[in-house]
Amino acid sequence: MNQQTAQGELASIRSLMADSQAFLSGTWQHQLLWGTLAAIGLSATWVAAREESYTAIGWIWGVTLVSGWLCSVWLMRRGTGSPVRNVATRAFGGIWLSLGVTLTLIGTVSIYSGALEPSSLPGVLALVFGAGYFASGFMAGMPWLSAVGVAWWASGVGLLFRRGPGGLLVLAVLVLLLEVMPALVLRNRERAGAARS
Amino acid sequence: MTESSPFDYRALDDVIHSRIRLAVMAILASVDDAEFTFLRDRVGATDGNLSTHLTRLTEAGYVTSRKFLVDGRAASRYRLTRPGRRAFSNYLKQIEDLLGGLEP
Repeated sequence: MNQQTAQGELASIRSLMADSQAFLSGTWQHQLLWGTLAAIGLSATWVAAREESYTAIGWIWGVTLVSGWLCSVWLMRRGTGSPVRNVATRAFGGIWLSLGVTLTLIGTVSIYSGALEPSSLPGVLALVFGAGYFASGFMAGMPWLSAVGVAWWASGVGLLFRRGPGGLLVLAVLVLLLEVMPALVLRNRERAGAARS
Repeated sequence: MTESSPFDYRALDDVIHSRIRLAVMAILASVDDAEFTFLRDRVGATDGNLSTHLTRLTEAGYVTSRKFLVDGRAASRYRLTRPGRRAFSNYLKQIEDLLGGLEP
């Protein structure tokens, strides 16, 4: 082995290691699942609130949250996520698991305890989503995903200033645009990457 | 050629010192674990070729594998063992020493 060969070998080792450390995939399934469920739940809640059927709202979110978490656990156990487990997938998974628990607690405990006005809920949830997307995009080196986070923050501020029953429907639309759509983009990118290799 | 010579390639770990096995070790050293397909795509080897090299690394005790089912099909995840990580680290050090030894 000469110096040039050794330098080339070291360079390719470092490049392989850096690429593998940063590799991120298999994160869109949970976003698609929760985005779809949340959009349905929020729309149903808006209808129930108009009908003043408050018992129905409890049922809607009971079913939405329990089925969402059961499906999430099933997805995790099925192991169809990332073909590699590394720092990036661990950090991404950690961010979204903690945010999922936070969103669930804000959506349930803060309302039932009376600590939060129901009309403030869409704005607060949007701000939490913003933190998740901004951090994910920053960490994964995807500026467009961070921009999604900024859009969530801006929407959250708007929703907090314009509180009202329509906030639920606005949040349902936001979830479709800023959670389901990014999940589909991530899925398409992953499939395009798989097709290339 | 003396033992302290920077060109003493015989000191390099023969198990790691192959292009495909080195690439596999480099990938596994930077992740928790990886599926066979991920390694194959990254290394650019055929299934059979990669399988042969992975067997060599497994037999040397540098890599362990775990089989599981994904959508009803069998898949394998590979992980570097502690001796494997140590061997890879030694290998890198040897190459870096070699480069250091060649510096004017």
